[in-house]
Amino acid sequence: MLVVAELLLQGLTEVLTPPNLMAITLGVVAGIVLGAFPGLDSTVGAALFIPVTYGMSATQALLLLAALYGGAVYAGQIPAILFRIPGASEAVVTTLDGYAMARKGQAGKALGVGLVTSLLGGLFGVTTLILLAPLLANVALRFGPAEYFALGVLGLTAIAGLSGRSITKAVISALIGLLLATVGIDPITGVARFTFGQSMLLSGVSFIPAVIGLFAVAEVFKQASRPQVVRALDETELRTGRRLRVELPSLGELRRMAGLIARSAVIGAWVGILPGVGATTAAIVGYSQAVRLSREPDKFGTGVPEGLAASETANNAAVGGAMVPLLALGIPGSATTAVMLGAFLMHGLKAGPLFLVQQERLAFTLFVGMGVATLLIFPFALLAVRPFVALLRIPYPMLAAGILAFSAVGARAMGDLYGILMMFCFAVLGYLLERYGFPVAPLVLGLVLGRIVETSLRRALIIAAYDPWMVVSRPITAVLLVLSVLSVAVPAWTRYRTRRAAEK
Amino acid sequence: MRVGKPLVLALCAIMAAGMLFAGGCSRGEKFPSKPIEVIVGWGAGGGTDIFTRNVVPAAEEILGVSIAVVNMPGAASATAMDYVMKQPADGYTVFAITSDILPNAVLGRTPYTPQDLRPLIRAHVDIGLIQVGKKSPFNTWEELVAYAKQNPGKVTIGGTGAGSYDEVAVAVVTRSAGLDVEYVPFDSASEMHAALMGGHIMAMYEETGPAIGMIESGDVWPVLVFAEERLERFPDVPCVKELGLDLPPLQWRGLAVKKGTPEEVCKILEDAFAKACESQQYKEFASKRFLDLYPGFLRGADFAKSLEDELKQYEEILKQLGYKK
Repeated sequence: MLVVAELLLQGLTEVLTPPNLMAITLGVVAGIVLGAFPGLDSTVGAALFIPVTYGMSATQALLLLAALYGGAVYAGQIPAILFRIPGASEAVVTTLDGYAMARKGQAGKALGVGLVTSLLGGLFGVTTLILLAPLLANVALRFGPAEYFALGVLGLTAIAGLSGRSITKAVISALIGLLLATVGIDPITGVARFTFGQSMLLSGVSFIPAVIGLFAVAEVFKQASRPQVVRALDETELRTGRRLRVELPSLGELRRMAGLIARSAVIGAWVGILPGVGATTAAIVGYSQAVRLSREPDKFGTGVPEGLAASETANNAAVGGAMVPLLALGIPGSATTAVMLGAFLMHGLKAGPLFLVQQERLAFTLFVGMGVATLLIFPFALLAVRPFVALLRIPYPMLAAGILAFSAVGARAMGDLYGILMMFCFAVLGYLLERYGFPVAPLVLGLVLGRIVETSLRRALIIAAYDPWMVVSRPITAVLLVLSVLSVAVPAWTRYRTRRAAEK
Repeated sequence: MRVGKPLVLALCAIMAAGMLFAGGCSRGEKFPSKPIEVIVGWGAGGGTDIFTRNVVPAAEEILGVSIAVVNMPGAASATAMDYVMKQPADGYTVFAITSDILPNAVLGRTPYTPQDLRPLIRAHVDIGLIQVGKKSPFNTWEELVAYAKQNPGKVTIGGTGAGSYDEVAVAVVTRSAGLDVEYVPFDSASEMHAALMGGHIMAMYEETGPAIGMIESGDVWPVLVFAEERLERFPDVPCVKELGLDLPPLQWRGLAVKKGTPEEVCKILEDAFAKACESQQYKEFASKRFLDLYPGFLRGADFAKSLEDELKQYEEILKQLGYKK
């Protein structure tokens, strides 16, 4: 414990040096700006900002990206509350009660509750990271190919068990992702698969151009295909006028929601730790738990601060959680951390089981930096709300052009020769998927986890002399696979029971 | 305002003259007269990228023009090779090459072969070693051989990539030792390192630099050097040659331009980069990354010859391994 305290202190002195503090501030501000803009979220933001970190030290780069992640997850709530536009996918659930509160004329209060619960959730997530990541690191070496395989399966099943309205569509989307993950040179046999003789496909789907296309550009297509030009400001502006201020919740209000906030924080951090699922899922699960355990479940969705608090605590707690598997295992805990993995490699760092052992100082600097970033969100958020109201007045066509230009730069910035082409292909795919009600997140998960699951299983089979039983009967593997089965079976069972109860 | 005809004509004449002059400049003048690009087929921060960025500053000073390093990652540099081949053969596009261009050519990942390149220099050789860890069932190469003979097909040796340099090197050595081992391909070196430390694989093929932290902490140690002689750094570790095993092709990094580039241009580039490899910055980089454990520097002509020999070696081995029919 003393060692941890010492390392934290060391991390704090490191964080408080001007260049590092500047990186964090830049990250928070960029995160808030990007997160609040529709179509730009932490995943795209991290991808866009990786080139900016080329010239920085590894510490600064990681601090900036982590701060950006936290800032973006917070800021998604601003347009969600004000205009019913989730600024980022994490804020999808926030729109439910947040916008309803704004319509009741409580926009300022909604922003205040959202901000405070975001901070509480974020700090809980960072604490989890500090306490759990070193622990997981010691367990990490037990993870061989067989265990990575099971971990990947668990990530995949979590999404199937937790995703949105239509499970069938989510599964189809995930399958498309899995299929796309097989494109390129087969990592085990070296044979080219599904490349159709195109050299751009030899190295597989390039992840960053793909996610920029799927999220940012597809959103532009979606908005552009609407018959009317979207006006960012509507009646909310008329109602609240220019006197829009953030009203912080009172201590009494917070105390009333303490149980709910604590529960949502634990759920958020836990979902964040699960590889492959991040803040968006965390918010959904946190919200559904809050509804299930509430005495007045009917009030949710009509503009109660509880709904907002559940979603915002959970999604911000997931940020710290998502960093746990990234730092301890080298496996991204969310789409954003998957992008961050690229930044690790670029700066010559090995995000993997050895990171916490070999880069202890850097790791603790990052921990403390994330805590500081969470606190920094507070003043910047207070400053930010005003200009956002003005920013969102930019006519959408101009905004869209800017998003496209930024996206193209981001897709090409990785040095990928065919990045822009790849980006537009995925933008069309993303547009069509959303158009027909297929969630895009499972596709990204399939894309990320498909490769892990496939190559790890095949690698494990080589090691086990092709005896499948030897692979699945390893203790950790077996436990993870059982958990995978449960995470599919339990929600299905619950749904079945509620349906039966409803029929009675 | 109306612009008079004479003025328009005069402007046209000036512009035409300017164009003529510009054309003359880039053709007849001495090389190099404009910035040079070095194409790296790997991401920023990787071994080849760092090598290029450490050899470029000295070369810039010698050549007197700026040199930009451009990363084009993908398909073990096959994508970058395609790009280089589509540029004019004028010496302004230099390609940072690694041993991977050989298996890429043999396996048909790119339609181009090393014969389409005019090699400039081979900067260094990165000597690989078989390394084992605390959880491996053997501590020396001798014990590994004995274990493998008793348990054919049970010894697992990790490496990065499939049909890659690593797999070829491991196959050449273990086959000539008469061993039946399983090669386990990994995507990333760090995953492989963890697998060795956790006892999931029994040994790994790795160069010195990436493993030095674990070697120094005593978690991992080398048991066999893939070279003709023992390394000064590991005097107790036997080398392939002294055990009478076949020597695999070497893992190297170098620079090349497209074939057909005028010979005097190639000469200028070759001299400049050869001299850059003598620079303080490059030497420091090489020693920090353990790339100077073995004398690997070659100039263009010798490099071309070694490439030819190695290409044949790769063809043969990859055929034996079943990658190529």
